[in-house]
Amino acid sequence: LYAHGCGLIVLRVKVTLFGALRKQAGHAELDVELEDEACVVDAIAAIGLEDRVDIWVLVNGTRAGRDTRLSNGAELTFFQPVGGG
Amino acid sequence: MKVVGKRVKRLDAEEKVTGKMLYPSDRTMDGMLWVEVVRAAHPHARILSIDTSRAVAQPGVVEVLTAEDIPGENAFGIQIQDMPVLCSDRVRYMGDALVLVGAETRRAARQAASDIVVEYEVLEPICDPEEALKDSSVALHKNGNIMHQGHFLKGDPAEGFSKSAVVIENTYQVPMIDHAFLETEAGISYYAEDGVLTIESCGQYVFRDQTQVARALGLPLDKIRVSAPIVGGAFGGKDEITVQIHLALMTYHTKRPARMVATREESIVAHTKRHPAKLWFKTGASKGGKLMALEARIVSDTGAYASLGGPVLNLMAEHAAGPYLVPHVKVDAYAVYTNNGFSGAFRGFGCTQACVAIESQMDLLAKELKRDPLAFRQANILRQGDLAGLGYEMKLKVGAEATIKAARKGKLSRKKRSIKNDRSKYSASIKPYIKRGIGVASQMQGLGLGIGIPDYAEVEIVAKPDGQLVVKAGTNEIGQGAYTSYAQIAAEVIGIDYERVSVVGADTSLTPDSGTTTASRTTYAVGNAIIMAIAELEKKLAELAQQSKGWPVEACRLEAGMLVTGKSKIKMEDLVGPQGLAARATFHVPVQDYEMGDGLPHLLYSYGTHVALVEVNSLTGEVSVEAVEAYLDGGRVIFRTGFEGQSEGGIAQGIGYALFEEVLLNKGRFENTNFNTYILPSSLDVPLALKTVPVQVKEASGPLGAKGISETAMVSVTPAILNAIADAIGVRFYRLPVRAEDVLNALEDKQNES
Repeated sequence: LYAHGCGLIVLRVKVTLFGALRKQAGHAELDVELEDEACVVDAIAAIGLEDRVDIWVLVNGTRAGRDTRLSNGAELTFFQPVGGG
Repeated sequence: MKVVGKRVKRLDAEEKVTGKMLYPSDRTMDGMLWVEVVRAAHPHARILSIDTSRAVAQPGVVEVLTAEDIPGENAFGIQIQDMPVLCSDRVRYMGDALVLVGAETRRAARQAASDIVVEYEVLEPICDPEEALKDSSVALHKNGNIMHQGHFLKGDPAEGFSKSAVVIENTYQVPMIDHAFLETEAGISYYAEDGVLTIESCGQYVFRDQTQVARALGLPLDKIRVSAPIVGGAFGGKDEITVQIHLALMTYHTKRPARMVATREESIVAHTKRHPAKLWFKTGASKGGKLMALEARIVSDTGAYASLGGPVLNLMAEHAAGPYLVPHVKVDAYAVYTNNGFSGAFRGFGCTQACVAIESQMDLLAKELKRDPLAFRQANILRQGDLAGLGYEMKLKVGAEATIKAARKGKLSRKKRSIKNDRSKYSASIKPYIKRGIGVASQMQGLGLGIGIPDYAEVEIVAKPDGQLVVKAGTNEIGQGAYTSYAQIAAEVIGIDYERVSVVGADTSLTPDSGTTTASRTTYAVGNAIIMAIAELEKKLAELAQQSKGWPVEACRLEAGMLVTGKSKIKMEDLVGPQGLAARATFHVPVQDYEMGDGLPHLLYSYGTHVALVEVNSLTGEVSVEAVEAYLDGGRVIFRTGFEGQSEGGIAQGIGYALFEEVLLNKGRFENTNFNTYILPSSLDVPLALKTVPVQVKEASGPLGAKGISETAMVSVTPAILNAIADAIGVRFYRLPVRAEDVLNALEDKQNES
């Protein structure tokens, strides 16, 4: 099994997308396969999204930076900070 | 409860009353530049040229920036980035920014700003939302003038109306109003020693502001820091970007600190307002007093840019049927671009506008059916398990009926029942030209961001070696007293004195992301995260005790600030070491299980019923609000004084919406840009007889049973006053505000008719 690049797949993460990102990615939810030591930024690339500062990511429910290392089975949430009230 | 529900001293009371606290508008720095903004001279125009040459040559001027100087995206907006940071080709409202001037003094900056020459091709402003809706209208944005629309259908309204004995149909018009916070939009920016561009400003969500600044400057998030722990009032008006990007741009280009403080005139012209709206409502009820059908068409004027106009419209639709069980509902709602300023978040967030319409309709139906207004509402109230107006299930406890029951026992309701329709008893002790009336209104208000947007709060708790506990939360203190509530919850759960808890807030470099300071969510969301973080802290302390004392982790618990196992106990501070011990947790606000639109619907609601007594002077038309009772269900009350403060402030704001406030626009130009002409209720307009009754329907998912109250405190005040006026003089008003001249004219018309 090989990931998007050429490394060995050792990580599978579940990604849920909200709002405009859902339309851009063409999915509401998807499983993504990543190489070992993959970070949030790698997951963004794997989905095919252009990395922008207004794409926010939660890893297992908590806000995470681009360099946050992912573990197998991690749940990622992609969204844009559009909420107010 | 030892701390929760008590009237503790606010954490910030001393600093605020002694003037020690520095608000964003108080901040200064050595070597700072004053920033002035050149704004549009017309509500709708093409920009042909911008000549800054004279301004640049002025003494004291350091930098003049236009759209060409924006290194990133020249666009911002919470939901849709349709608003230019600096306009280069077109202006769409009088507040549009074109040029930034940075100068050594404010005077020099203002002088230079006035020397900038902008050549325009003036275009006809689009001021009527109904006209803007037409295909023939000039489009203000590339996708046309309909910024957002929602169409909702439950059941068969035609069938519902056919079974109705009474059908009432009216159009309500509610005005654009200003938030009128004490502190205008303000802040300061500078490069910190670590090279991070820092903005200390007003705001309601520092993490989203950081993102908006980073996007405009083309910088990564870690090169931008936003801090806004203390804000001099907001009410939703500082939810959108105000000064942050402009400040950051000036510092980015000059490498010098920069300061902005909006004048009141600038604040009123440039920044978001409450959406003016036209609401056509048709409601039907059976002879037996049951609501049968509701049909509504709502046109909300979002002005030149979107901001949160979409979600606000969604909440107007969501709350169109109020807290009532209506079997057949149809709502068509439109948010429309015009050149009338621009609107956004404001306390109530769409519920306010909808509540005016549905609560007026409820009173009219009750009158036609000869029912007591509160009894009629109670007979139609939503209960847990019912389908709300738009058809989704009310899955949690519904406190609406409890607020009505409490209101029915209140002094004003008993008075109204005792006098029935004998008006002479109303006015037995007052002058004959004074007419008294009592009105009621109920409401529900969605809590949190609703479905479709992750709504979370992350919190860090630090147990320090001196025995103090620090709560770090990313939300702002905008005057509502939330930080005090956080400290109370932490003290209560750990079992320590409230005085041992402090709060660090709203700083992208110091606090976790706790979400927005909006939507009545902070006590609920952050409070829950605090409780979760304390559980994590307990676990970490137990692990330390296991290492140092061999205590079994699973047998340890945190009690009264001590870690306890069996008969052994140790103070937290004796375990944590010199660095202290930190624990984090993230709480997610629960949501409905299906989505109807952005943030629509909610799972959680707060509820309220207001009762108002007014006196109408039939000689002058003046309406005086003599007494207001507020029956509010925000779950368990955490900070009693804050709860009452929210209520009393909400009542004052509701009086303003009903009787005084309106931003006047003439073909897109603002006519009342300061508080000498934009009339706010003064202390003389707010009655001494204010009574706030907490109706504490404990919410199982809430922190110690709490929900939120900040919007509920205001929303149904306005229709209660409208209903009281109708009760007093037999004339109903469909357009806000109800000014003295409106009352006089209506009384004259009534006399002429009779």
